Amino acid sequence: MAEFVEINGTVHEVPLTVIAQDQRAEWFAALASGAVPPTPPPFPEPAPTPEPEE
Amino acid sequence: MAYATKLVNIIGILCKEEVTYATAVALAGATDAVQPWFADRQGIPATLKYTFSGETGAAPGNLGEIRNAVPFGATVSVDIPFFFKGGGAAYSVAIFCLFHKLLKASGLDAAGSFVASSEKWTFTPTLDVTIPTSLTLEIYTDGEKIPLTGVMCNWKFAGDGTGLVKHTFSLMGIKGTVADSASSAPAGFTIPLASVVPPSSAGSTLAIGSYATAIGLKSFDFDLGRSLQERPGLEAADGHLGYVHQGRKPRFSCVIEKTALATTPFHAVGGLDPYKLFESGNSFALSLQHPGAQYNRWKMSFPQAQMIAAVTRQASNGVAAMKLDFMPYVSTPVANDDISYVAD
Repeated sequence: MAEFVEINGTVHEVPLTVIAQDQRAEWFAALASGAVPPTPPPFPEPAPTPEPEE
Repeated sequence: MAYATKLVNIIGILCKEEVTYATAVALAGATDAVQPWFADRQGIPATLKYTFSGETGAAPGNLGEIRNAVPFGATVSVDIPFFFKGGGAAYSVAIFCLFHKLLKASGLDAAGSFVASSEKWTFTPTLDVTIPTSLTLEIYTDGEKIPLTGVMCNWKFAGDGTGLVKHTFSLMGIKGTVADSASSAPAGFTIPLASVVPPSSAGSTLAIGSYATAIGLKSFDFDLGRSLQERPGLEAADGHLGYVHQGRKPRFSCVIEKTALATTPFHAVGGLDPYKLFESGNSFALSLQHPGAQYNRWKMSFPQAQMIAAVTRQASNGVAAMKLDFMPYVSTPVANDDISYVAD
């Protein structure tokens, strides 16, 4: 979604999970080497912040 | 006497693209900080708004008011100004300009091209079929942390003789729980691109069709004109589901010195006829190249543009000048090619 990179004339969409986990460099290196880039697991949602007690 | 509890001196902003709209992603001061340009040290002017303020109105038995109900639908809007900082080195999948994420959250796609010696990121409008980028954001000001989710924004920039071009992102997001936060928290953030000096406005090149040289550029303004709509959702605990974006109405204006009136198509190397350029409805390419060394510069291009208002005359320190208003437009009703912003 909304971010793309070009390698050797081919445009690839950067997975959101890659962006969210700051793994662009690893993903891109794998893609550039011809390997299937790993897709990180879904980003863990942070625990909800407890509401302050009255 | 105790010293003041909360101050406005130290501010900070963390942000990151969300995987799912309005679902918070974790932020870290080491990786997710951006550097806003609040030069007046007055804190960050975030504005709270509620879908329902809780107001219930007049008391039936007297002239007073009855107790309010519980408000819901808390959102925050805030204008965050930035100066531009490029990557400072060859752009890559890990090197971006300062407000890369904010541009994406303004409804623009980012496309990286890393051909040796001409590395760049190009931003063009996101298609409607694509879920637009949203951000999780944390604002640190006044000794407090304001967490936001589902943040989207509109983008403007303006430049004149005062020095730097100011890029302003008007953010809107769903408010989380505000918490106390010592100023040591934002003071500890890792500010990206700390060694990159923002390029100033001098040396900007504006091209209005064929008219580009020695035009006496005084100032310029751009507004993406992105429309963001609130999305109430009463099934949600706080009655608010964030925002959706609708159309954009980009506008660009500039003030330049008056020049020789050019004949058809009314823009030429040696002059420009603003009267006939408007009256003819002629189309032309428009671009603004912001100066700076490679990897610390940007260019805004409008492949098709028109004047959309009559020229306004101005006097600029004794020089006859004029304000011109332009509208970039798409080349066909289904094309998505009105705007291109390049950091290279």
